Parts: sequence; C-alpha cells; structure tokens
Amino acid sequence: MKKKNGIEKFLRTIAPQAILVLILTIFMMAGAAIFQRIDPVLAEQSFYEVIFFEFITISTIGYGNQYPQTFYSRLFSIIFSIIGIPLLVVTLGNFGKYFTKFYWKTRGCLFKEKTEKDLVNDRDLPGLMIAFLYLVTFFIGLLFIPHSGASYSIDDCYFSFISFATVGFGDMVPVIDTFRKFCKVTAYLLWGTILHIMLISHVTTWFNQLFARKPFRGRDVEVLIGGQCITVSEITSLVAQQFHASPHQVRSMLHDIDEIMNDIKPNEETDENSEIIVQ
Amino acid sequence: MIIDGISSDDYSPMAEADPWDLDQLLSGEQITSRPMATWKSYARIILAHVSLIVLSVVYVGFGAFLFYQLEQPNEVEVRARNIERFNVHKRQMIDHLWEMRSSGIGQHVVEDMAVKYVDNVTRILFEAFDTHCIGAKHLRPGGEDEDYNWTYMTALFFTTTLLTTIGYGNLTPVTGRGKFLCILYALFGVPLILITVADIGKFLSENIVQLYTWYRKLREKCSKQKYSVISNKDDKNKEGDLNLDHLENYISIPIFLIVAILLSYITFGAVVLSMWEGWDFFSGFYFSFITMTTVGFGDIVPLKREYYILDLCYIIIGLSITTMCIDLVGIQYIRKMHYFGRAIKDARFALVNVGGKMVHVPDLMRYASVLQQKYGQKKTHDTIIVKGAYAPKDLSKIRFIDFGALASMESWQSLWSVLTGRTQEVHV
Repeated sequence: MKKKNGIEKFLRTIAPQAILVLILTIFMMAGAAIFQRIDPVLAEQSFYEVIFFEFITISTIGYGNQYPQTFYSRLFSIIFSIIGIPLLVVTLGNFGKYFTKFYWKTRGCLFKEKTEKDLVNDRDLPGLMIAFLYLVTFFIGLLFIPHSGASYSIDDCYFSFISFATVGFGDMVPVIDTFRKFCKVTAYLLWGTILHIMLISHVTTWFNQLFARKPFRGRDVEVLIGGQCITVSEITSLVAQQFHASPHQVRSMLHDIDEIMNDIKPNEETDENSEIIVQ
Repeated sequence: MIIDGISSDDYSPMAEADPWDLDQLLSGEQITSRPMATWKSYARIILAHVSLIVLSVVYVGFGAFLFYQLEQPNEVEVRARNIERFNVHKRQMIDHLWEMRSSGIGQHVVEDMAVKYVDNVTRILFEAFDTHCIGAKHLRPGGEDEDYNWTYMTALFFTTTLLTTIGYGNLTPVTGRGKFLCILYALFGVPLILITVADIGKFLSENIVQLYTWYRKLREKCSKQKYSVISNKDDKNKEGDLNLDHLENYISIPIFLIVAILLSYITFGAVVLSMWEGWDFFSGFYFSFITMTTVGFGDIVPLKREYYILDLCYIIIGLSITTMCIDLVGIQYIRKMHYFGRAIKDARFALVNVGGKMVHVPDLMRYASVLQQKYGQKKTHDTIIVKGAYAPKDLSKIRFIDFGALASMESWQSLWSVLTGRTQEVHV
C-alpha cells in the first residue's frame, strides 16, 4: 500500500515535468520548422543548428553568430521568445529544484543526518558544493566542449562562464558542426545554466544578508499553520489576547522571541514557545 | 493549531466584548512616538534603496575604469603592431619588386612575386581586422589615433551589458587578465545589478499601483457611484477601516494596462533609437525587445557614442519595467485567480481558529497592524501600507523580488508554482 503510494507520488511529480519537457520539445521543433521557412539564412543551416539557435535565443544567451535577418523572422523571433523564455526558465528552474532536493536527500541518506523531509526542500545548495560543481563543469568543458577560442587556456573558463551567465558576448561560440557536438554542447549549456541559477540564488541570498535591509526579528518570521502563513507577532497577539496579557508583557515577550530565535535553531516550535512564555 | 476559513454570517464581533482592547491600550503611546518614528523609518527605507543604487553605479563605474585600464593599452599596442606590420610588408614588397625590375628578371616571375606579396598583405590585413582593433579609417595617413574601441564611455557600456547579462559582444575583453577579471567581476556584479533592477522595478510597480488606485478613486468620485459596502466594521478605528477597504476593493491592474505600458515603452525606445541611429522603426523595436529580454544578439547595436549614456538609461529603465511587468502580471494576477479558484468564500468573513477561539480575519489583521506599528518598523511592502492592489497575506513569501534572486527566472518560477498550485512557503 505504502509502496504504491510512493510510486503514485513519484509519477505525480514526474508527470508535469515530462509534459513540460515534451511541450518544450514540440515548441522548439515547430519553431525551427517555421524559422527555416521564413528565413533564407537559417534555411540553409541544418535542422539542429536552427534548434541550437532557438535554444540560444530563449535561454537569453544570444551569442549573435546566428540571428534572424528578415522582417518576418525577426517578428517571429519576438513572438517565439515571449513564449519560449518563460517556458525554458520554468523547465530549467524545476530541474534545478529537483537536483537540489536530490542532493539533500542523498546527503541525508549518506551521512544519516537528521533531515526532515519537508524542511529540506527550499534550502539552497551549500556554496562550497556549487563552487565544486562549477569547477568540475569547467573541467569537463575544458576537455570536451569545442569552441572557437583558444583551447586549454583562460578562454575555456571565460567561454563557459559567459555562456552560463547568459551574457553570451559571442566572441567565442561553441562549434556544432556535427549532431554529436550539438548534443554535447546543448547538454553542457543546459546543465551550466541550471548551475548558474543556483549560484545566482546563492550569491543573491548572501547579498541580501549583507545588506540586511531589515534585521532579523522573530516577530516578522512567518509560521506555516494549516496551510496558511501568519507572522509570529500575529500569533503572539492572539495568544496574548487569549491569556489576557498586558501590552507590556506582550512587548517583553516579543523581545524574548528574538532571543529565543537566536538560541534555538529555527523550527516550528516558535509559536509554542511564545505560548509558554505567556503562561 | 488549525486555521480554517468558515463563512459565517451569524458571527458576533468579539472585539467589542473583549476586555483587553489592544487598540485603545496602545493608542495613547502611539501618538507621542509616531511622527519621529515614521520619519526615521521612512529615511531608513529610502536610504537602503538609494545606497543600493549608488553602490551599483559605483560598481559599474569602477569596473569600467578597470576594464579600460586593462584593455586600452592592449588595444593601442595591437593596433600599432598591426599597422607597423602592414607598412613593413608594403615597403618590402615595393622594394623587392623594384629590385627585380631593375635587375631585369622575366616579367612573369615578377608578376608571380607580386601576386604572392599582394596575397600576403591581404592576409595581414584580414588578420589585423580580426582583432577588432583596426578598421579602414586607421590605415589612412594620420588615422592611427582615431577613436579607439575602449574609451571610458564604451567601457561603461561594456560593463553594463555584461552585468545585465545582455552581452551584445560588440566589445569584449581580449587579454587573459581582462577575461579573468570579467569572470570575477560578473560573479558578484550580476546579482548586484539584478537586485538593483528588481528594486527599481518594485518601486515602479508600487507607484503604478498607487497611481491606478488614485485613478480609480477619481473615477468613482466622478461617477458618484458608491460601492455597496457590506459593513460590519467598527468605524472608530481608522486602521481597521483601511484594512477593510483594502480587502473590499481588490484593486488589480488590468493586464491590458501592463502590456500597454511595456509596449509603449518599447515603441518609444524604437522611435527614439531609430532617430538617433538612423535605423528603421522595426529594427529599433526588434533591438529594444532583444535587449529587454537580455538576449542581446548584437546584430544591431547602438553605434553613436554620444548617446551611450542615454542608451544605458533606456536599457536599465526598460529592464526595470520588464521586471515590473512580471511582478504585476505574473504574480498578482494569476495568484488572485488562483486564490479565487480555491477560496470561494470571502476572506473577510473567514473565521480563523486559533487555539480553540474563533477570530475574524480583519480583526486579526488589525491587531497585527497595531502590533507592528508599536513594535515593528514598517516595511515598505507591507500589506498594511501598500494601498491598492490585492495582496495575498503571504505575498512576502513569494520568492522573487524581495529575495532578489534572479529577477526573471525566479518570478517565472514562482509564477509556475502558483499555476500548479504548489506554493513556495518558507518553513520556520
């Protein structure tokens, strides 16, 4: 019974992703066919090269070695990006999310860490892990990914980073003269972009902590209760009201919460803590 | 604790019967401490945003300076070397040909030699051209020092297009050090600019909501059409009034207006840019779009350097507007749809079960607002302060702008999570 549930759950998580990937594939295929029809320059290129062009466009890398040249293909590329960019971002974002989940689960299994299933989901990958993955990726890129810059030099790193960051200057472009190279390069760029999303989110979190627009205060922390979010201060006020506490008590309690939050690792006990204090 | 929304018309307000009236107890202290506190918090809020923008500008400017210092000498050197090489070959060819001519070697031998030399010089010219440091104008006498690719202005353009991840590629670092610096610089710069742009976008979207609210109110006043407000609120409390107002008028910007704003901005840019650069209108439109989506093919790039600063302003504001559109359309609109799809019952009459006691949602919000005024500094994006748009209570949970993470990426992601009904909640 439990196992069946597990399979069902697995299917339920996999199915939307599969559908998404399918939609993306069909979308790219159809787009490539239309591009070849309306753009004479793209029509001369092979089908997978046009697919690669589409991928470079909707991943917003935009090297610029292939670009639409007629009025209609430009117009179509605008429409294509409006739909394509969010589609690809969503797909890649989901892949990244599942990769992160997978990482935490594997780690939980390996080190027998006390990882609560639900709490783990939103955590980012640790910075060191991202850096390590980046290095591995750069190394793979160095060995296997052909590009127009000088091999085995800073160019490899530079090319990979500029591509992953979706800057895509286009001074160095991947070589995709055979189908095999196309597959290799596309997989590499896809993986790199996912990795970069994770990196960006990590650095951004770090930035936000650095700027600390608002200091951490326990009362602003939101607690999930029965599917709804409520700040600790709201809960406290309600609890206080129930126990007929005075405003001064509430105030001191709110201060206490901050101290408690600093002492205790964040978990779902906070609201219970506040209740204890009131009592 | 379980919170469940129950529609209740037979609900008796408990605030009146409550001996512990939080509002009244706190109101006295509030008045004395309020003006200074709001002024201060306001300044603090503004300071944070301004400092972010200043930091970004300084970062971009400093980066431009660094890249200029690294790349400009290289460009000067490469250009001088190539011109020198070309001139040397030219002289060599002429000397050799004259030599052969005077020594009386057969004509076809001279011709073969000449063809070889011309091919050689042509190859040198193309090689020189491939470095992107040299053009036809530089080969004219006295043209060696004509405008370099790397000036402070173009370096600024380069750093901005790098950090916004547009990357036209009309100007790229060539030296190893420049490339290395480029990686390091972008590593920290990209998130910084992302946060700044998202911040400006947030500011814009708040103002748009504000303006739209005013417009709505004005229109309502003009038409003298009053909403029949179902009132079960106590009128003495102003804070509560405000809250209820917000709950009653879910003001959402129509999707049409947002798209119109974006389109008109792009069109405006297209007109202005095509005027400056001498493009046709559609090229300008296409350029604007490719820029705003940060694709940046680089097939069409602004060339007039005197307008670079204005171009940069146009790009930054455009990106902010794009972020704003994703913010307004992507999140609020669809989230609202999602909300109404689920909770058919009006939130105003929902009862929240807290520790066995039933509480009205507006009451709960009022207490929260009083507490927040008392204890908490006001946040800019607070549901209580922001007038206008319907904001779900857990709006701050949506990880897109406040978290600053990857403006477009994250917002689309959260948009998707809204669509599929999987909300990203922060667990405490």
